Amino acid sequence: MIFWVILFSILGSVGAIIIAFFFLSIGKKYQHKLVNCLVSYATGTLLAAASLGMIPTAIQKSGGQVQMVMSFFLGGILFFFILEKLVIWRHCHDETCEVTETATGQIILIGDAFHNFVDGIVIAAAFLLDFFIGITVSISVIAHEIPQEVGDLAILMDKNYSKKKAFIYNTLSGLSTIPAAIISYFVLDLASLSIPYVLAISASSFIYIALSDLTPELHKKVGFKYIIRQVLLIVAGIFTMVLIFVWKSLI
Amino acid sequence: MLFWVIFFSIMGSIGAILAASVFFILGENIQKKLISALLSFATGTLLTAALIGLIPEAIEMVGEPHLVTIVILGGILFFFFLEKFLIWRNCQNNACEVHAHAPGPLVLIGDAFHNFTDGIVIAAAFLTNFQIGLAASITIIIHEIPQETGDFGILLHDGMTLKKAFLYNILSSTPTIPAAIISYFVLDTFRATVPIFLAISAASFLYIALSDLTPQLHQRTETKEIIKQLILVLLGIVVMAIILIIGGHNH
Repeated sequence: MIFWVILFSILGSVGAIIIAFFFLSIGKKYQHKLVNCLVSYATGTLLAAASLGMIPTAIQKSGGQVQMVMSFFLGGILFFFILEKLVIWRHCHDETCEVTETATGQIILIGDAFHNFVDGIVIAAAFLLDFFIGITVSISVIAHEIPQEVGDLAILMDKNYSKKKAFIYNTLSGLSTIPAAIISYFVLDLASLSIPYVLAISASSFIYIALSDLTPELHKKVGFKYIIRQVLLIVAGIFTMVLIFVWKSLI
Repeated sequence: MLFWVIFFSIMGSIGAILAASVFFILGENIQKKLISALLSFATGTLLTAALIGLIPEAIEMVGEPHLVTIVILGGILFFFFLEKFLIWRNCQNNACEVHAHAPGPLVLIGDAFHNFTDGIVIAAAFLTNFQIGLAASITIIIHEIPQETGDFGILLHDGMTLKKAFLYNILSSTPTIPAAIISYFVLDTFRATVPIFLAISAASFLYIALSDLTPQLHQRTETKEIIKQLILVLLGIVVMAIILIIGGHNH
């Protein structure tokens, strides 16, 4: 299983950055379209991976400790709420500001490194619990990392980093997924009783990102065309996850 | 139990409007402070009522988590599409800030529909047990007050007199009461559907807390405001936890 953990933590970090870099070099028009599509698709995969896979599996593997698992889930939501607050506060406490516009290059890189570190833990915990949960989680991580990294690269280049420098720095900060995944794999393997609760916190990060970060972004687009596209892509994201669970039930 | 269903459906509709009109009379300054305090508090109660109350209860009634989490995912999608539809209905001709431009009739129809579903939630929750009913009702009352205050503002902005806005708002909120009474008897007959309604209610609580309230809370970036928000979110969580766990609810 460690093979899959390493493979998908590479794909979810360096892989996503390479794809993001590719997006940036094909021109603004296609880039915007592709990013918008991926945000919708990622909303579907994140919601489905958490609610159809991670949460029920965490409950079952905890031996039916529903309230305990959901308490960890609530704690996770609170943690990500406070974390987002801190990030906003760090670069906004002197004036009211639009967050993404004033974020400095350094904060983007530190935030990215932390985010990718968490991704690594999530991937390891998921594969330790169940191979198919691991696959759904990895696809969700990759799908939402690509638009994220496109945004990060665009901000870095906006802050006068050269294309090459932005790519190298972003890759370095993204690499944190890999050691995080490998270390968590061995630590969690020893403390296997904690895995359902780690998975519950991971699920809360997926739900938080999908509902608090991506959904408001999707609702900003109001044209009829966008709505149809968004709905289709969200359903496609959910459908991808469902296919993997069907595959599991066939084996 | 029917007494409590009727009592709290009156409190959650007409009671919330009375509280909202008191807010309006207090003057803009105090009103704004109270509203933003209530939004934070409501975020805490919504999350906790859903995650520690409704979802574990529904899973326990079904005896297995998957069905419940599938319904939650379906519920989240439903509310996503509903919000999309509402945005589309009043924005299709021009790009617009949704809440600033929503016309009076649409606000009232939306309010009537929202309150109708509140009634169903209250009935399903009290049919489960008293603690769950109490938790769901308090949550509904607390998030209805800022909601109704906002509706008032829009109606007045549309040129309605204070008296007319008050009367129309009361009228559009009363669906809570028949909805609660009818669902009480229908759900009492079809007991097996209660966990499904609990799961849909949980989905609506999560959606409101994370997609509607959280982005609103994150718009404030002053240190004082952030600390106030965190304390009030935590307070909401603690109040709900006391009702649900210490209030004699044992698993």
